[in-house]
Amino acid sequence: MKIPNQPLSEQTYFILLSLQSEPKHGYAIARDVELLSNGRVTLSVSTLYTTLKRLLDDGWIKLLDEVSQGPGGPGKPRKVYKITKKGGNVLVAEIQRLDTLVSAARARGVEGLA
Amino acid sequence: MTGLPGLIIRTYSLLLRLYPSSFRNEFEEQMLLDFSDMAADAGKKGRFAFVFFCLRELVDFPFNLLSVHLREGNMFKVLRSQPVNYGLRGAIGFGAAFPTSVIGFVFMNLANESMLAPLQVLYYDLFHTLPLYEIVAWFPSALGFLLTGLLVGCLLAVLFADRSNYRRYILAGMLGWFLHRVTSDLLNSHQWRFFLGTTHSTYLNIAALILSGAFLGLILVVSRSERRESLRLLAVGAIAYPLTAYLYAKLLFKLSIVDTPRLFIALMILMAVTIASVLVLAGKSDGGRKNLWLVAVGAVGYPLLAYAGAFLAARIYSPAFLTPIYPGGVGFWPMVLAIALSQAVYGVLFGLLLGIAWGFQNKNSVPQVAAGT
Repeated sequence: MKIPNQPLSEQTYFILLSLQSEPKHGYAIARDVELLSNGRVTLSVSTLYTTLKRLLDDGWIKLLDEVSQGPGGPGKPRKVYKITKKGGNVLVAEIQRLDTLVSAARARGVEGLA
Repeated sequence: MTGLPGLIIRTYSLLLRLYPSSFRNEFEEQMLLDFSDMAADAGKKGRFAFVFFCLRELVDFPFNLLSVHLREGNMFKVLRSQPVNYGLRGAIGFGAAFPTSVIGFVFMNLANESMLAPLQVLYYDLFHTLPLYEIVAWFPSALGFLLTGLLVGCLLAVLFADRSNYRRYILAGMLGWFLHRVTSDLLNSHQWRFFLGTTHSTYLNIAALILSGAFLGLILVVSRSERRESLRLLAVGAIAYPLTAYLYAKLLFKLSIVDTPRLFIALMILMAVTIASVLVLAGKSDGGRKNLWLVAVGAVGYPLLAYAGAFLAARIYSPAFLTPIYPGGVGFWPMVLAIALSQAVYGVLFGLLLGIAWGFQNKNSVPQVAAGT
């Protein structure tokens, strides 16, 4: 399988990371991304769905048949997305790339790294 | 949700229509649900958080919209869809026409002072005939009307023409505007005593105004080749123009005595309603709410833009803005360019507003791409 050699954008990385743990609907993804990034990455609705559309087209995530409820309880059903095997491989490749970068920095004893 | 959040959510749902239909079918409902939830969350955190949320959505929206359209390969269609297309045409047309008219006016004055005025004096010295001299003295104005007409024709071509008929629009605009201005100048200038004697009657003035307005209607008849509609279009010009000219003159006169913001706004509303009403009467729409929409957009939007334009102009001409750029004092051409620049910005905004309103009024309220074509 061909893994993109370009670094992922922060939004894409965090969305894939968020879906890695469990399938989620759009609102839950946005909230989880905010949590994962310690509030640094906040997805607007348009950014979230533009990115989801691209990930769907690339086959990195897929739409599940099941639906779930929004934060306000019963209401209109929410579509749920799940990361695919291809998307998982892309995420792992990106984590390895980031790990290589950090390891290189650690090997040189850059101050401030734990 | 009610109040301001409800209004913002409704506005957002309208904005979502700008996405391609395939994207909307897939995500519109979910996006709106998430937007409502996020707006509610932000609202619970306080006003500042809510405003910040709205601003973030507002800033991100156009970039993502563009990105989706580029990805879907629909940009060309979007640019050709009615509201967007007319909005761009308006912005380009008025954005170019307003500053060009400023610079053209300056050049005409310079040409008048340096060449035509000495020629008139020479003519008088040679022939010593006052009536004919007055006709000669009127030539610079006539030349100005013709050049302004060329500008009007080009503007009409940019706004409405297809590739096949832009020459007709330019020619109709130029000749129609020339006849319109010549006619309205007919009884107000001393030069025409040569033809009409010294009598300046009210009835002749009104007749000149009506004829002058009819020539404006003629521009539409000839440029759009609307023979069936010719009487209606001529009547629109013949009735609307004298009425507007009368009200405009009255308001302007009052404004020269009592300069109040209320009168200024009234003047702007009058102009806007006139323009919009003429477009409605001249257009082919089915009538009803869409016409009211166009008039309302004109009546509300134009005064706002006029105020913004006046504010911008006051800033640009102010010593606080110009002195740091030109410490030795503002020269003639920098001032002309500053005025032209402010007019260009104003023209772009004005054209955008008018074009989008016109596009919505004439076609579907949804761009063709978003409607699934």
